[in-house]
Amino acid sequence: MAKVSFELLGIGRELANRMGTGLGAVLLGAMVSDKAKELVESGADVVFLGDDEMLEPYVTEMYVSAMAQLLQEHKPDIVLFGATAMGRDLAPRLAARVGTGLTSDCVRLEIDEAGVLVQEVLAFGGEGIITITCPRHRPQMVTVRSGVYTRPNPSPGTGRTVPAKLSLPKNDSGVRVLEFQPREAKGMKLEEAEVVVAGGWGIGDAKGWEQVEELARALKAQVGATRPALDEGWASEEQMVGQSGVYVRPRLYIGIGISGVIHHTVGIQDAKVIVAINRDPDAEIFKCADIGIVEDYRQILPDIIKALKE
Amino acid sequence: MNSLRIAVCIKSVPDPRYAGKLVFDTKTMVLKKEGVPRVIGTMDLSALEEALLLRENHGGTVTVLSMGSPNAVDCLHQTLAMGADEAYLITHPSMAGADTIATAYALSCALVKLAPFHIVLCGAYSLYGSTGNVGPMLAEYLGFRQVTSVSRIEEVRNDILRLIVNIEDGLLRVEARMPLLITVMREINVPRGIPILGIVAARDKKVVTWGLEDIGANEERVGARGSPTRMVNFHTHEVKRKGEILKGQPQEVAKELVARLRKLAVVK
Repeated sequence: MAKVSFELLGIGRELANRMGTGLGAVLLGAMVSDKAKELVESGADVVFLGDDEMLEPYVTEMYVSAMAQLLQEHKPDIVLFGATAMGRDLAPRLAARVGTGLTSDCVRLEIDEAGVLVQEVLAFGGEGIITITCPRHRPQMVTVRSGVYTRPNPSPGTGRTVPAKLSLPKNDSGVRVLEFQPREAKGMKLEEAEVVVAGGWGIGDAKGWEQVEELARALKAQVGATRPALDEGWASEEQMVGQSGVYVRPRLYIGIGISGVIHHTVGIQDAKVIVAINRDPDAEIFKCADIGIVEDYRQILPDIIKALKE
Repeated sequence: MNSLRIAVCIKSVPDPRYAGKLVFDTKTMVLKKEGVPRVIGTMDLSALEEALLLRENHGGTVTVLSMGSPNAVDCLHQTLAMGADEAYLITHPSMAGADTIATAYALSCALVKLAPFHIVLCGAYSLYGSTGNVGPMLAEYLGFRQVTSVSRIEEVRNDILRLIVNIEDGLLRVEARMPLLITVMREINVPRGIPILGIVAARDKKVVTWGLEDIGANEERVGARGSPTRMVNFHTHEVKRKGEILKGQPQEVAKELVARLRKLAVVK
């Protein structure tokens, strides 16, 4: 099950407590009932279980239909989805089907005095945060990316499993999954890294990128990147840090040649210590760093690596 | 299937390079975007490019639609110059303040007026706000099947498409039957620029502007009135870090940095 599902149980618990209501988890698939325990251990009071061979693999219409029935029967106030490929496929269609709103990629959620879910998302071009509510329509639905919230430590719970009585549509084979090719896990996931060294457009060339990687090796760090570095071919998609990529929470983040637009920096704000190296004194990244160095990285990286070895 | 009728839905967004000029009026709860040039969202460009490629390979027409304020017309001119056959701007004062539900509704009305379509293409998500919701919502209102996060269209054979879907864990090979709504990922293609001949050819093509009555929409379901969600506030991203700049010769600065990081126990 996706990591984000557990993270959402964490924030879900807080929201449910604040509202004085219960926390449910929806588990859909085939032969998945043994997974309900994990969800209870992460805080679910009830697991709505839809176990049916029609629910494997994921097909939009089956899941939208199942969810719509569950929403109709149990009428939750709030539904949280992971902002994954599946979440982006399911949540909006479901919102349109049941006639409610959807706010995607929330970076913060809380309940206000009126008991309404306050939803914060990033604003245009990274100038700030937009606050959104869904005042009248129910349920209030949001998607949240992995890494925004933390997975709770598992602890034995008293949650129960409720089998969902679903009436699924006939599969007309309008959409068929032919095959699945798993992605090779390239070692530790960036979002779990303790130290991250990231490079941006300011690195300039592939040769310069090698210096970034050398610093990472000296720190035993994972290498991250911004979109421009990706476009230049120095890094790959899963190394991208930021709103459209990975949220990291290392104890140390060093950003080199990175300007610091918000859709990158939102992905690093939970780092314990942020260091920025950029030769442009006006670079935005200095505003969100603990320590800044205004210098061409080529002039200083070798010295940093040397000092680390002493 | 010889001739495909393809629609592309695009959103014009404020050019991120000028985002500093955006002002949120807390009295009217409106984000003022005057004076900020508009560009087509990155993934929307890929959606348009994919439509043009489909037309090149299979024949047919490419119709671009956008719902927005009148100044979105420049972006639609751009799509004509890139090679779209026709472009429609759905705009009306009542449509202001629309969230993704109200936007998808308005677009669905326009698409029904222009029906039939075999394929509707949208971007999988955008960088700012309403990230990719419109596609699936639109598919729901149209009653189309959907395949999202598509990184490659492998084949079109009669009324069946074979697609590669890019999900976190890997790649899916999927077959889907038309009519189909597809949302595309940035990596699906590299959008073309605007060829000089494109600008010349586009001079004869006009962006058609459609209002509420043209698309046959219910006024209660568009704009702010038709939006279950609404913007209630805007604030700048507060950051609480010191931002101390280390000064001096590189060698000294490097030593100082490492000393501090050791003191903070983030480095050995």
